[in-house]
Amino acid sequence: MRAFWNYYFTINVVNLLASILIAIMNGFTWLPLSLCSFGLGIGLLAYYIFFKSQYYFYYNLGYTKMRLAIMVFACNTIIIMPFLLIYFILQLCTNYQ
Amino acid sequence: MHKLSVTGLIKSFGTAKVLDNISFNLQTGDILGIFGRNGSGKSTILKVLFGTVKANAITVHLNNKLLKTTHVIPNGVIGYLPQDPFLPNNLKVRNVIPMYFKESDLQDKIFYASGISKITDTKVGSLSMGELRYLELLLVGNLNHPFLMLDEPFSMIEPLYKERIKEFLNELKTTKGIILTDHYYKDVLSISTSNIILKNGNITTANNESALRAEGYLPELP
Repeated sequence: MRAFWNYYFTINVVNLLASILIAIMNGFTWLPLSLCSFGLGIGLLAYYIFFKSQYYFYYNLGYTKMRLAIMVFACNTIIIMPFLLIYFILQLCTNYQ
Repeated sequence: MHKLSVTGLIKSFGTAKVLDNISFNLQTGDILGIFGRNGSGKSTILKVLFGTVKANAITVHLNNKLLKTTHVIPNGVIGYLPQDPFLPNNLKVRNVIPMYFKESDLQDKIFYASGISKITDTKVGSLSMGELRYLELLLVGNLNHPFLMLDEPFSMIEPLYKERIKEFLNELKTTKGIILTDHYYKDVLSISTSNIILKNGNITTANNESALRAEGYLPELP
């Protein structure tokens, strides 16, 4: 699992930068959405372009490219969803008042 | 004892048929050397078997049971040392080793391997080619896979490290079946138990220098 976290953080550095850029252009709610979608796609693409050979580091440990991508997506979703939920609840409460 | 059987391997790139109905067997205790000129398809065989390149046709049996190549990585059947360095450059050697091995005795085996203790605080990106290749081989070789494939493990390696690699492979073959491909044919021939040469998409047995010469892999003697 330690190896996975190394992949996870590398992917999410690019993901976070891309998602912040999208959030600046389109609004705060796009930040968590992008972290699980477009930003994540950019992160995966950047990793493939710049660190393609490093996939073998993970292959030898039993992680396929697909499994790595699904795990990153799942982790981001699990981490982000509660924040997004709280944000939407607060928004609802504010609008209701 | 594990047995891997590959039959009917066909791979084309566009209209060029690189591998034409290749078959071979490998079992624990074997070191199979694969020779061939650049572009003959040596690395392609390894990548197809590892499941990272799709073949036009291939049948693989592991211990007489059909094995899909897409299951090779998730099932941990084969360890693979690719041609290019694969360890993340930003990590220190002492941080990489626990990523590959949870068990402290296996970690110690790497930490105390000859030549490793002096580089544990060095970042992977700062290692020499020989140190890096040797470290990669130790990591992949000590994983629990029954088979191991090595793509050019002797390239750009100083003689001292070559000898360490050979010693290590001779130890490993007691528990694994190994496929080895490299242009340093003397090093390969010195440790392999059988050898094949790839030419025009087909394989032929070539267990010594004269056979390699006869197949046009080595130049004719003057």
